[in-house]
Amino acid sequence: MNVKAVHRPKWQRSLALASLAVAAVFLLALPVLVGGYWVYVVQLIGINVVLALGLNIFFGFCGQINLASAAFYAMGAYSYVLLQQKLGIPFLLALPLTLAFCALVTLLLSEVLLRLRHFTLALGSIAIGLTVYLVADRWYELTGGGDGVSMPASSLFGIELGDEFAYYMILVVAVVCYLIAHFLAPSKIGRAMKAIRDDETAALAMGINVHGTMRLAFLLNGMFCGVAGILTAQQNQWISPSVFNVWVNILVVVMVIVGGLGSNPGVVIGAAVVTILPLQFSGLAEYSGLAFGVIVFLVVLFMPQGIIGLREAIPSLLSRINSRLSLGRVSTTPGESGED
Amino acid sequence: MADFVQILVVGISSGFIFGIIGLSFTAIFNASGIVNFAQGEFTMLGAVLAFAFITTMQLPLFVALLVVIAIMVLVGLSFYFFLAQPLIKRKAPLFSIVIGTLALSLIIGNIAEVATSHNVLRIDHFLGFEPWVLGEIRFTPQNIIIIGTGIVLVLAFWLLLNKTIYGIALRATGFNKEAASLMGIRSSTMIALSFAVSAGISGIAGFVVSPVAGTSAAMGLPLVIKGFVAAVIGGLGNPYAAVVGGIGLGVVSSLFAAYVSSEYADVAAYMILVLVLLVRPHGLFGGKP
Repeated sequence: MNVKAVHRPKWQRSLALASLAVAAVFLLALPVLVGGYWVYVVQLIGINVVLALGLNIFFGFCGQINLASAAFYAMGAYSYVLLQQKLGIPFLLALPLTLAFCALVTLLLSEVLLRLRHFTLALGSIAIGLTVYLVADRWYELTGGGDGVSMPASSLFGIELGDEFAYYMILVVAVVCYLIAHFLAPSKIGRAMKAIRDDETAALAMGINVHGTMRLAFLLNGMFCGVAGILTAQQNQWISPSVFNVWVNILVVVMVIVGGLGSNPGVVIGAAVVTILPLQFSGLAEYSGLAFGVIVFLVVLFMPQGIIGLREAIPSLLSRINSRLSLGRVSTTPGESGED
Repeated sequence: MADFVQILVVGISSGFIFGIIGLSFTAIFNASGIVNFAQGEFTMLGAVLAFAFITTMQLPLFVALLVVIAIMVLVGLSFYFFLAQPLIKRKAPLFSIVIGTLALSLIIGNIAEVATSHNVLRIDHFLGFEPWVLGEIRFTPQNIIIIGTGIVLVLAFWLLLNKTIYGIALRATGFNKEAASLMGIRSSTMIALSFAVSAGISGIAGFVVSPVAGTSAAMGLPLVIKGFVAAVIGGLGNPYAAVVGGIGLGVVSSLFAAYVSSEYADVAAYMILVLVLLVRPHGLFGGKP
């Protein structure tokens, strides 16, 4: 945090703060200003931001690929809806119960999955993702199968909470999740995670509790996804297995990689881009796999740091062009070198 | 009893497919450390090409098989030269390459989906649909073909790896890249070879399974996961253990489908993975990796 402040000029910092304030006011006023479609888009972005931030903790910080985002996403959504619908629990009580359930399941799964590493972990987690999807799809009595299950309207003190409540809930939760990830990154635990990513054996030798730290990262990943599931249920008032198919796992990974692996602001940008692009090119829906494949491939090949990497890449490119130009000038007058 | 044997044969034949995918997946993994998410798409391509050549173009079986093998080897090579090699040259971290294979599997899957217009493709059983009867037991000829092909592929793979100079060089590269290159083995050629062999084997598996698997562009992802489950159950890094793991997986899930619940057969398959990891984290035949 402090290190960053030293490097960044003061005007840039205040510019960032000002634009953040403008964005906050804009987002808060959005339902009043435009409503409808854009509220829906921002809701989707908010939910995806939470999903992507969660994966970023495990994938970006800890260096382990998890392709079971959709599983935790589905578990959050289904337990939230079913607690209310089948057991008649009010939503304020269903919230903590759902979080507890997600934490429990994530911890149990971590016992199995964290025996794997890297790509084998990725494939092992995809098996978990498919299992949850299959259960949601086939266990008709509980989940309603492909027909989905609808949620009773949330109400507080007799007032029915509608779409705007879902909007502000998503906004607040997304910001809270961002802050958690933001303060986790430079903390002792966050640095331990990055040490594990860079070299697990070295991290172990430094006295880092590798298994415990990884389990915490996995737990946070699962909890974030579960929270995203709650948000989706609150937004749609209805969920079905198709919301949580295998494709979602891949999309979340795409968000993280396109935005910038390991960078919280990058991941937010990635989530926004990946959410908006298909909405804008809905005519190309049939080719969405192709389009995402090409985008990811190009990003991996040419922008290994993701979109956020441009922040460093563009200045360095400019300075390289600059030095190229000034070098040309210098070479005509030998003896005059190293002007800066 | 007859029922049980028939279910067992179905299980073994689907298990061979999982095992062959696990084996070809291990071939690339051992040579280069790359986990190839597109392995299932290779199998899918083999099956879809079988439809194109057998059903649409009416080529004789063996000609179709040879053409499919040739195309799949080309696919494997171009996979290496257009995806893996540029990334390896840029010294990209391994995970970028793996994400790259994921991206390419999306691309291949999407192109195949558009080309087949989301249909399930019908391919005639190679030796007809009439079952072979032995006592009370009736065998579907296609399942026997799959099992036979599986055995031939495993033997051919073993011969390639152990009895040819290329195979020995390939194993040497997997064992120690630096030492192998000091012996004059070009590691990039060997990795390219592993991609070609792997895609070829997966393609053949797709070819023979195409009449019974419900061939469609979407079959790739479940197959790569089952192939991976097979490889991990057996013990990652050992291609033959992957085949054993695959057969175990196929038998258990077909027994589960027949006697417990066909809807949850896939869930049972994934739970086997979980169980094996709990009891033997390095797989049934694996030492410490």
